[in-house]
Amino acid sequence: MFASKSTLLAGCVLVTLAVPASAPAQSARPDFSFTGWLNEATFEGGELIPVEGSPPLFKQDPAHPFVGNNRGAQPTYRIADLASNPNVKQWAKDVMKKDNDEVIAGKIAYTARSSCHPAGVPGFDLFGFQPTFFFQTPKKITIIYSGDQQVRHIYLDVPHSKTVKPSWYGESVGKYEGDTLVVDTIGLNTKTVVDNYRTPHTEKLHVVERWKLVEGGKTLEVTFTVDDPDTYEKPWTAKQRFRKADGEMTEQVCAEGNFLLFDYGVPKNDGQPDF
Amino acid sequence: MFKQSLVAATILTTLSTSSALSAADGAPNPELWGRWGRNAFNFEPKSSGPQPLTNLSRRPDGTGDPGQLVGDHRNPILKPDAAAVVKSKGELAIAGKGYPDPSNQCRPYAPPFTFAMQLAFQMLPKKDGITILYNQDDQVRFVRMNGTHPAKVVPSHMGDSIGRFEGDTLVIDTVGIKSGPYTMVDRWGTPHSEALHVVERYRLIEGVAAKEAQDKFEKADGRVGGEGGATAIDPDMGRKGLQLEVTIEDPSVFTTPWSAYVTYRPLTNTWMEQVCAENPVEHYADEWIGLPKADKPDF
Repeated sequence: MFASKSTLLAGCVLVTLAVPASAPAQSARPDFSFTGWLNEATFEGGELIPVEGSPPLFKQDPAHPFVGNNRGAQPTYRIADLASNPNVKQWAKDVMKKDNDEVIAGKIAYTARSSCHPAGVPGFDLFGFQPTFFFQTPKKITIIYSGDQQVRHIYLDVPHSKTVKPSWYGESVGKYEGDTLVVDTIGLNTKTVVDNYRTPHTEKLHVVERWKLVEGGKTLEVTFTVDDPDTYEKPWTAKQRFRKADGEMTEQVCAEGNFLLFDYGVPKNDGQPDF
Repeated sequence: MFKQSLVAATILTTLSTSSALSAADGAPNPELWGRWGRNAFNFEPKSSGPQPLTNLSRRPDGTGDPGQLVGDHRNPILKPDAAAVVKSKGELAIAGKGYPDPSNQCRPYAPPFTFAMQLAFQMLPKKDGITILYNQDDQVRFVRMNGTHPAKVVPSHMGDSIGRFEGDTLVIDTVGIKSGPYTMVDRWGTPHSEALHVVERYRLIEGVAAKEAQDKFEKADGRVGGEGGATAIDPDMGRKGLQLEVTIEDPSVFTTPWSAYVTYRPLTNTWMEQVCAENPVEHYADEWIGLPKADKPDF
């Protein structure tokens, strides 16, 4: 698909001008680029890892137990126990209740991966089953999730643009703090969810991710804080962990998958291209 | 999918790069790793030799009509069967129907189609190779540096690409490009077989020469995105441009190997999101090409 988005240019020029002349010392930078990284949580159904001191995270509704893939039983979807998270505002729970009722009645639950859609942030950090690769350069980090090749761009040592037009992955700026890469993301559209319970958010979503190597470099850990005063009473924090994945990036073509077999809400038209 | 057959080649590559030599180190000029763009589709012809196909449908100003893709099926590089395919696609375009291609079907843009379609790209070097990121639909391909093709290549969408530096030129050799209902060599629907062999040669050229080449081609083929352009080219002609010379060979389709240029200049803007799944993906669903359908899932 081709589209020209000249409206973004003005903001981009501002960002370019703001690049400082000197970058942080090379030696301080952690290197995540030497291997691919595979999300560990996806094999357990993609739950977020709680962080002490954070407001609570949703838990599975015990009336609808979760069964992951390849467990010898019919897999089920994540259905949140809406009472388990008092930090989420009522409007969001109303959205989730309606969605959950439909899923329980047989609807296929939305996931970014099965819809060939970007997952947003922190949704990107929950992508699994195929590895994620980091490409680190002095001014920019590119992160590619090899499943359907989802791409994030993180601009280093620059401020956010004054106005950000919401997009799937928003505007991410980053910096290194010692052994940690800190990424600040705003301007996220509301087409994404923040967890596998399909918890919604508004355009006020603000996510700060802190990526670092742990366990002697064997594991990559991201701790992210999610702030959206219109959706959550207080900012909340969770983690995801990634283990090393050897091998090259391989081809994963979402459009070859099964999305044409079901109604995943993929937009359709009458056959006329937009261009 | 892990490719067992690639392991040997990968190990060789790793050994040969163990002395801290990486793809990036091999580059004669770090400018190569910048972001590159153009404001025209299609292949730029060379001054002599076999020529790439052009659009028979022209606008009043003489440039190719991007809204109606009618490839010149009379081009002598095409064998008769391939010419017939191009002719039939052109007839669909003339009838206002268009035809499916990798872009409007959200499929990978393999080489060489990707050079005719993508307006911006960047090479991301790592120790074992170069990942190439193209702007439209965030397409990605990987080039192993200083390796060899496996003895038996399993065809894949982007094919098996190996690269090396020859002086200041980055040479990428690609084989094993999967052939399917949506795959094509160019935007005119020229088909290819899995014998397709593509060689890319990238070299930095003077900024003035790059601008001249782009201007000349835009005058013939049409500029994408109007006066402002679809991509934000840095107007500074002191910055070098990038010339891709691509050579395409497929004896089942072409009467001869042929080559063309694609000229890029540095970009100033940041990456833009283009999400294929947000766009209509069922163009031509009831047309002759036939998208896969099923009443029931396979599982």
